[in-house]
Amino acid sequence: MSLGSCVAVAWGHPLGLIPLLVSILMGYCFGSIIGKHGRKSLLSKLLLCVCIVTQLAQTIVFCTLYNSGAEIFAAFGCGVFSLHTISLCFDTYRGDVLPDRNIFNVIAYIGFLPSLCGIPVVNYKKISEQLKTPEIKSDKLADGILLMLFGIAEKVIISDRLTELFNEMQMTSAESMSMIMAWIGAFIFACSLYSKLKGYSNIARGFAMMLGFDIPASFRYPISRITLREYVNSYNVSAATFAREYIHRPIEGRHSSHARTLNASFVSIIVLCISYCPSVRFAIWGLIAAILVMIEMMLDEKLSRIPKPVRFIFTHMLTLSGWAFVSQSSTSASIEYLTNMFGSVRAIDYAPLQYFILSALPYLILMLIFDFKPLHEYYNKLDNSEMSIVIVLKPFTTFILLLLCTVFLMSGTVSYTGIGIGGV
Amino acid sequence: MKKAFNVISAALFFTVISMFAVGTLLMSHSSFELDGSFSESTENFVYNNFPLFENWRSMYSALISGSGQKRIGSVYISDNGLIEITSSINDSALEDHINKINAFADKHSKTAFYSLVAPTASGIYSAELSMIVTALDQQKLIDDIYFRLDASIQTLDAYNPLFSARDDYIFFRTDNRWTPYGAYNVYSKVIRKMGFTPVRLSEYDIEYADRNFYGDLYSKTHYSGVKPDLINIFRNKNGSFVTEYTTTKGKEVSTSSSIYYTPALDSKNKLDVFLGGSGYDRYTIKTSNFGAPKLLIVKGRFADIFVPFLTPHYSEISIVDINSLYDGTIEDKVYTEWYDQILLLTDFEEITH
Repeated sequence: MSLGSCVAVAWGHPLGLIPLLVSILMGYCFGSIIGKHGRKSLLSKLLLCVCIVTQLAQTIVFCTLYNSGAEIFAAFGCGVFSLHTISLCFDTYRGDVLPDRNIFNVIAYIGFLPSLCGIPVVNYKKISEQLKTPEIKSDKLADGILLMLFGIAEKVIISDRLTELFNEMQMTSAESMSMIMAWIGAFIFACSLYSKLKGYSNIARGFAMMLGFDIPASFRYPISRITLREYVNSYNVSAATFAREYIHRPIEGRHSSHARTLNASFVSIIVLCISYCPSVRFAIWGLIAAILVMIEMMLDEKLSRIPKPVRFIFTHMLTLSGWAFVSQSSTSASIEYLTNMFGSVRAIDYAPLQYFILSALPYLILMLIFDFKPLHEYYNKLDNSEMSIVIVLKPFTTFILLLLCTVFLMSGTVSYTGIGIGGV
Repeated sequence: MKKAFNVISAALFFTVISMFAVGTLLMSHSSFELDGSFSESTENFVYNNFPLFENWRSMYSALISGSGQKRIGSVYISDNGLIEITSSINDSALEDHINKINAFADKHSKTAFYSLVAPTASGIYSAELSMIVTALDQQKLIDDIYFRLDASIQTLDAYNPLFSARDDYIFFRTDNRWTPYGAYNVYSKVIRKMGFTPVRLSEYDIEYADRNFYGDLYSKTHYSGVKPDLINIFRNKNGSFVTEYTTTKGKEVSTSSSIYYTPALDSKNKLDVFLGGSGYDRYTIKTSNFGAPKLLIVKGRFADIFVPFLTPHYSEISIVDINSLYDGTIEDKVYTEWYDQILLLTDFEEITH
């Protein structure tokens, strides 16, 4: 797998091997030294700090260069290398795991092949044992293939088509968008981004299962969440777990106070936003998200008195507004879009509105089916039984999904106008 | 039993994937060429040689149109055929093109210079696309382009003649270009401004050269719900005026007595029947109208179908590609001072990108 990771990174661009190599050397050498000297050693503390600073700086430099158009610095997987290296050093420092002497296991973890598209980030202590003895079984292989195909379908069928529609909406009425159109546009963008990230996550999980690894799901039905904190914690769970383990906990310390918790949450959100894509827009987005979560935490008691449906609508209005910083290509365009969402005086243009709603509807319904919790639970129940219709139909489902994915992969063409998340 | 179904699933997946891989290698119709990076070249090779490529496209179009949507990429499915939507313009490319046209006109200020920018189907049928308001107002934008052209350039209006005939067969259903009838409509209006009386429609015999033409928009979408196009050739009842037709490509010169290259009707690019298609450095048409003026055409992709209508009015028509004007090689290909009139014929999509 370590060789596969190197080939995949070099396939994106040979220079992409530079950050991978730096991360591997740092992870292997620092991990070994930290493991040898233990938690109380000053050298261990120093090396851990150097590792964190260097890895974050590496991500920021490579992603910034990549986003500024310097294509030679491919950011393919760059964010994941850094986060995995930090995780490896941190877990070794805490004594949760022993340093791995086998460099191929370290390469396999830092450039974890299934995660190269940026999601999910896997904590070292959760996978270190699996890396030593991956188990490939027929049931895992079949389930992995199916999960991977579902992920590809979410990306190429739902996300790409919704992105096309969003791009079309942008071209249609960027200068004179009505308020309703702006909100529907934000909703379509949020759904396309969610399907894209969830699709990538499922591709990675499916691929990992095929290789004999179990990694947890990255999304826990964020659409159904009522509060902002729940939403943030259920959207890209792997990143949230990373932030909790390696940023929040160390800052909060053992003697937590309200102020320290707020501070830790604030830093976690900012660091995650910036490490995924260092740009002014993402920094603003991260800052706003952090402030809103902090306000929600401070006013928790008062807000809990608000009826749940009202709070649900309010939470999702806030998240949709936040996506304006991700969907647009510049800060000024984001502010203009937000102005349209909250202050456009233009009358509703029914014809395009009807067109976009009708065009997006089949994909939104498909997305809801893919994300419907009771259906998932029922499917898993049938799949875990000895014999059921789900098991009998598995070869057929695999074949149909493979055909559908091929149709859309060979024919669909899509490009994002605004988003450029580093490593994703 | 459960294990058996799992094994079948996995085996099925790997078998189909292997079949795709083997099919790509064995059924490839183009060889691997290193163009750019190795990974890009490989991806292009796989994409271009993927087995059953047309069938995948066709299934995609069927799925998209079956779900009630009318847009496949940039192509809109209208009741009358496929229309490529022009939804944006490249301002810097347009500025550059206008500057080069103006500089060329300035150098030939003593020659009557005409410019014809034809709208595309997206401009003429924009009302049909009312659900998608992304189609640009081409009439307004063409007027704006004409306004920015040098005052010595006489502009020819193609929008209104085409718009008036919008219910007729003026654009191909499966291709980006206008039909010979669409070209005739424009010719019959603009030729007066160039100093001639148009040949009446009744003076032509219309020959149905091909009834099963699928153009570039079909190739893009493989949408099977559209009828094939007709390729008509308008033959003058008084006989052809063309006495000699010469095409030049590098040092290769070929001569013919007709401007229609009929073997093209059996090829993939059937519209090459007009003038033999693009790809030549220079085309020269000599006619029996001795003493009539000489015309130089700087041609875009719409010109091939338009040129046959001009042959009754000129003693000689030379044609060079519009790219030779943009890249500055036009004077290497043709002696521009020789001509009485110069006509620049392009379309909205071409000049704005």
